[in-house]
Amino acid sequence: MALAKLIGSILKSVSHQHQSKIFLTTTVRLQQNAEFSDTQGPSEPAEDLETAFPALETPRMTSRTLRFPVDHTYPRLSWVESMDTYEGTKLGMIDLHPDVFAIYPRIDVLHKNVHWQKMYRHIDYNFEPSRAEMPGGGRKPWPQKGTGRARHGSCRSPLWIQGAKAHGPRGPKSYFYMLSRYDRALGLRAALSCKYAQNDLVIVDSFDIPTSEPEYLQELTDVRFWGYSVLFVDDTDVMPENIAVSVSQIRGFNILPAYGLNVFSMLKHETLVLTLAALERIEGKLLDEVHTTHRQEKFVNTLRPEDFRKHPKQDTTMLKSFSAPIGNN
Amino acid sequence: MAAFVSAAVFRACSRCGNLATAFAAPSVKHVSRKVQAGIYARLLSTSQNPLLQREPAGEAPVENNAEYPTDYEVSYSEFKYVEQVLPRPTVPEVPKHESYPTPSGWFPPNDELRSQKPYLVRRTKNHMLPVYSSLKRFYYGMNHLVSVKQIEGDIWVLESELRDFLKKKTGLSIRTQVHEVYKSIYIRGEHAALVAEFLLGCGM
Amino acid sequence: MASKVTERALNLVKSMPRVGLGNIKDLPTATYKKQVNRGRRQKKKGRGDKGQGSRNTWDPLGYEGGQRPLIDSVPSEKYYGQYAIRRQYPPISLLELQRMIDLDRVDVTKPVDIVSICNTGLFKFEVAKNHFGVNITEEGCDVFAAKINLEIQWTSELVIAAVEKSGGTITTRYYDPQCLAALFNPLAHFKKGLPIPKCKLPPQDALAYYSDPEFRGYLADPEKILLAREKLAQKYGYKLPDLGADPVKDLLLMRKDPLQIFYGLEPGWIVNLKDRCILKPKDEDYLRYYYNVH
Repeated sequence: MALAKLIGSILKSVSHQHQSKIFLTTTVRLQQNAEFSDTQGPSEPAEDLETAFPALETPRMTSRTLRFPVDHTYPRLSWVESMDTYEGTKLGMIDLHPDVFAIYPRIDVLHKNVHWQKMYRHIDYNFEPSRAEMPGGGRKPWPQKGTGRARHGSCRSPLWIQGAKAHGPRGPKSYFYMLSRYDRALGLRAALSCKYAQNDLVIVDSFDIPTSEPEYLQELTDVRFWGYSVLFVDDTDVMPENIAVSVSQIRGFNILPAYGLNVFSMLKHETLVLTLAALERIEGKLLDEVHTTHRQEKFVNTLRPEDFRKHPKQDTTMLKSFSAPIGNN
Repeated sequence: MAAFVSAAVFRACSRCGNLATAFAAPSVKHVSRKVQAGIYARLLSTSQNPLLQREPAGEAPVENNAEYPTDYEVSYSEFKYVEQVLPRPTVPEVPKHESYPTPSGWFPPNDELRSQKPYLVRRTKNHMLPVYSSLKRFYYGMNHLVSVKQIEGDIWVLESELRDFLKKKTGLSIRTQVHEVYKSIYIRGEHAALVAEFLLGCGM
Repeated sequence: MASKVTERALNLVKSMPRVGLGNIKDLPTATYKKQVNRGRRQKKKGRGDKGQGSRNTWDPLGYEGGQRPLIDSVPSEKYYGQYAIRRQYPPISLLELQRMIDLDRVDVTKPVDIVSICNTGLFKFEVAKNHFGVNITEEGCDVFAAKINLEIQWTSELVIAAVEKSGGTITTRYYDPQCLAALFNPLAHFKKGLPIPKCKLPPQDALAYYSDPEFRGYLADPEKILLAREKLAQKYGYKLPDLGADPVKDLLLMRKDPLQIFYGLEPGWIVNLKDRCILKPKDEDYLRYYYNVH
């Protein structure tokens, strides 16, 4: 636990220390951070750091070239961890593009995206029959004149008890609409920025865990304070067997390929765990989207009703005309 | 995980609602080919996945008795001409010019000048100033509106400096609006050229 | 320089509860369409009592209450006559073209045509709206300085002079709508697996323009075009650069066949994007169709 505290203090100090754009080696950076964290609270001196972290002697990542560099802000930093032990080893520190991981947290765009994701697949099946579709009601209940009662023409009129509803729901009704391509990409960037700002974004080298028993993954997330629900994202379709099996047995944990990443899932889960490959793919795609030459066009759905038809469509008119005996009269 | 797999399959076969047939989905004919291909693409496979235990049953080959000419020649060397006409996916960086402005009057941002200001207006992806003029309909009629977007830094300093500059140049009262969330400033009136002049003077 | 607004917002989010599905909402300034007058007492929906306004039975446009309307009483000016079948040429100015060249959106080491202009994504073009190509307009003709081989669909004399003064060449070229769809988005056309179409000849009313050496038509006699170049240089008073001694002579004199729409690719060929190769059918009837004018 002392280890976890130390990492926490270092992480805190890292978030304050960003001015150096030059890529330092991790050792130098760690020493700097350790010095910095001395001012905040008691921690081990910098020289003992190497002995405290034996795994630091392994080869580690220190830099990452960012496409489309910007000068109005600094690249964000994140640890790269491994998942082979409970505490894990810090394999290095990498830069994240500020246009993807540090944009203005547009809560309104997040809301738009989540609303869109809920609504585009929603179909309202509510249905009320009209007065024409209800049984009966063709007869005039009583004569127009002479009875002393109010005039009525049908017992299914909306005024009547057990009458029809005047402007009722006429389902099924589709609520499909398309959010603009720009807003969809912006929503992903805003969600990633929120996750990074709230320290809910974890980057690991790969999803290789030693065992497929769910207890291991559960213990790992408890030790690292990842919370009750975790979303794992990898670049491949075929996930490593151990993590796929253990994730499927834990409630609240889910695993996704990178192309399936969406705002709803990100906000639903407490922690987002990306592999390095997934990070490269997601950041690259979103940066491409920011700097695209593509002209935005109106959305056209290419799926036709034929794609969802149960049976092949039959030509009933032809069947009718030729199945009856000809020339009987 | 398991929920994800079944959701993917169920989506494909939601019409007939037959999950048992959906698990043998590759051979089900009423699920369109487009959707079928999507199932395989979307499935996260493990060794426990029932779908991957067996090979997908291939559909019966379509008999094609039509006599189409199928003789053709394949050329790999001439594909370079195809590459020439394919669009570039992202906007390229600006090449270095000998002198500025370029023949069309384009300036690069001046880092020395703009580092002195507490604010910064980023260039758009097309390397232009994010200044847009538009005609907007208000409740009493049409009005010209200039919007400056992609503002980083202290937006209020930019707003006051811009207003002073426009006031001095035009002698009119300038009405502005600041939107912090959209990181943009809206200016009433036909002042797009003056706003661009001010921003270029600041080295943006 | 740190970005103050963004930085402050991110710091605020840092100290807030976790952003989740339960605590996001739209901006307070966002407006939603509200269904009005659904209550019990509202029955006229803000449309008043009786009459045309209530029943949407307005008079047709231009109707003057039975009096002979203006549209019938004055002679017509058919400004929009046959608008639906007229050829449209959406404009792009020389200044914009020069800006594209400056910012490396258009490659001048290759011939510039409608494909390279559409591929920038900065040019609005819709085949379905009877758009038949690019019209280069005169704005920026003083500053145009690029030496290019330009192929466009419509232009004026001044633009031709500006391009030729800076050492380039220019051609006006007709494409039929089917070819324009392929030229506007070549990737979509190749993905469909369709053969590269052959270009039709211009229609009767456009034939004069595209065979006119003064407009550098692609069907004009090349010798007459050389004469017209010199004539234009004398008219505007500039010295015509010598094409024969030019280091990029091959580039400037590169032309397409009247049936061809892409440089280097012939009509009838099929592009395989997956294997990155070109399939050339050998059938005689097929070739006879694609290599002949009908």
